[in-house]
Amino acid sequence: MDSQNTTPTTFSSHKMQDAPTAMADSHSVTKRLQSELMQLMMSNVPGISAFPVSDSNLCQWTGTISGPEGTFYEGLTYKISMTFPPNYPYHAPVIRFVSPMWHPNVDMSGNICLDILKEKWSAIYNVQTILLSLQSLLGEPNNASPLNAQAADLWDGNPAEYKRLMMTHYKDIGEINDE
Amino acid sequence: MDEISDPSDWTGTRLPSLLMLDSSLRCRICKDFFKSPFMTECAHTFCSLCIRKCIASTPTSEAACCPICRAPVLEIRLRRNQVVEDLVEWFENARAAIMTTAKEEPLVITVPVVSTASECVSSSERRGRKRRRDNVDEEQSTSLSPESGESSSRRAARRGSRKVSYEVKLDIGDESEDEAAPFDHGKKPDVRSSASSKGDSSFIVLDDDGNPDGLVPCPVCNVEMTPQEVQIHLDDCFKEQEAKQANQSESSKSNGPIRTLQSQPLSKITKKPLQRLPKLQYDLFNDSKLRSKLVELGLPAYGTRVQLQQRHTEWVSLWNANADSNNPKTKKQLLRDLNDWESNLAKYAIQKVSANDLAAWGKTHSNDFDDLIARAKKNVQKKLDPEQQRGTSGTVEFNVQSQHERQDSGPEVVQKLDSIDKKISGMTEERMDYGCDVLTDTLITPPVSSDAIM
Repeated sequence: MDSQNTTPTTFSSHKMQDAPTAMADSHSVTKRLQSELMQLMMSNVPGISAFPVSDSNLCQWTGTISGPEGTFYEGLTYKISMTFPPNYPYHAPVIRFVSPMWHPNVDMSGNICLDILKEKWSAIYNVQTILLSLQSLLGEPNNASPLNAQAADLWDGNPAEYKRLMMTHYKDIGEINDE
Repeated sequence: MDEISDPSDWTGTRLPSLLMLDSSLRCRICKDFFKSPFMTECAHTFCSLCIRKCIASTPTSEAACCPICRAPVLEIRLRRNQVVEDLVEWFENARAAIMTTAKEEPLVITVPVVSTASECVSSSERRGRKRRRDNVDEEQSTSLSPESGESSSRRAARRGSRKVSYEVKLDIGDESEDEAAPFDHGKKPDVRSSASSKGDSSFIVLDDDGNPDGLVPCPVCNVEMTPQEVQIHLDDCFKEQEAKQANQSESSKSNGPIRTLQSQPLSKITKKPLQRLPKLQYDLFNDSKLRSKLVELGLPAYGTRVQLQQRHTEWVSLWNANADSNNPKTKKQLLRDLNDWESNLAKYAIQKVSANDLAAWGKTHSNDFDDLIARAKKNVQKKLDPEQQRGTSGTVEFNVQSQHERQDSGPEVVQKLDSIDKKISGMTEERMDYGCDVLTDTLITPPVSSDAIM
């Protein structure tokens, strides 16, 4: 651990001490997830964040996505859960919106219809690419195969109504965490 | 615990540019340095095990594709990327040392030292250097140019005239190809003596060029020998070479890559190569045949058919990747890896039920939920004022979620909630908001979903 613990920025070294030290095994999944965690923290991409839920289980993460600028979702923040299978990265993680999400490609329980999370998954994708893809999905839904037909109709047909309905479903992260 | 290194380790050091080098020596799948790197036909490189597992995890109905560009990938078309393997080895060996140097305090930075040093270099030293360079030039020209005899007097003309010496070299190169010719006339001793006395033959060049014993390299196989021997040797050497080439063109038809002459002795063929395992068409095997196949391989043969297939697939990937390795593990270690993999898989299956698949959770625990809901209903009815009566489902939800009424929700839930408390208190403040929420989420949602099932 020494060499990366002494990484320069205070931010990273502080985080690193929190980083999962309880993992005694050296399974490729946990190793890979540790790398991803480090990469994510070091690159510090604005608008997205993710972190494992607990020290003991690196396969369950939670993350946040900010709505991209110039979309209905601008200024809103959404919470998601990520579950990594034991054969990750050869199989896609299960991603779900924890925040209520009103969007053509997300159903009411937060399940997401996105090709790269299903048949188009590739082993080189990682947490960061997933979060960025989800972020861009917010601005560019695939209205051809909607999970939420009403949202898909209103997206082009009636933007004002779309925004109104979307906001009635929105819950602030603070609210969700308080529940 | 294994040390996890990352390309970003270089940011903030004095050598941030090594970040790109570091990251290009890593497999995009496992994010670690390449282990037995193999290249696909689309020229992307991955660890042997990573790409093999990737191909193995592709559903049989689909064609495996490159994780980077989605071009079709066939396992038999994968080729070892030896250069990358060597690069990784040397970089990994040096990484810690470079990192230490790169992180040293600016006091030790060599830049000011170097700049002052180069400014303060005394003119005499500079002259000395130049002289040395001149000497080198001179040596080169004396050794290389046929007119070396008269060159010593014209230092100024030669200063920095590298081009000239290259040209000379080229000329000599051409000449040396004809070096066998003088032998044919049987004039060897004469040639040698004239050469040593300032002749224009190529022998003097070869002799001064690192073969002081008068040995010359065979133009075909580069083995050094005396000029006399070369002549006899050449015929055999040519024959041998032809035979080798014939062999290679034959083997290249079946194996693909044509190995160059130089790479042949380098590749570690002295070790007995491990046999690769073939993949199985599982449809052709019934359960008992598959079991006996696993036993044959020395693998555990318990479990369902799916488990057997998964175990075999994983073993083939592990085994073949291990066979690619320069330092293969023992079978015992591989079996341990397989066991780790399988227990990890089993662990996940349990987690999956508890955390992920709410529908499955709801089904398997529907009895518990029914019980809880029944008890909750009873309690609610006992407690509620007549005015406060609401829809039953609403109260059930309220009851289970409300932490004030833990005691009403049955011992199991109390236990779970307690364990959540423990977990939360064990967490760092930073992650408190996440951890707390998701944990309660997972435990509280099932009753709701079971509600929906009802």
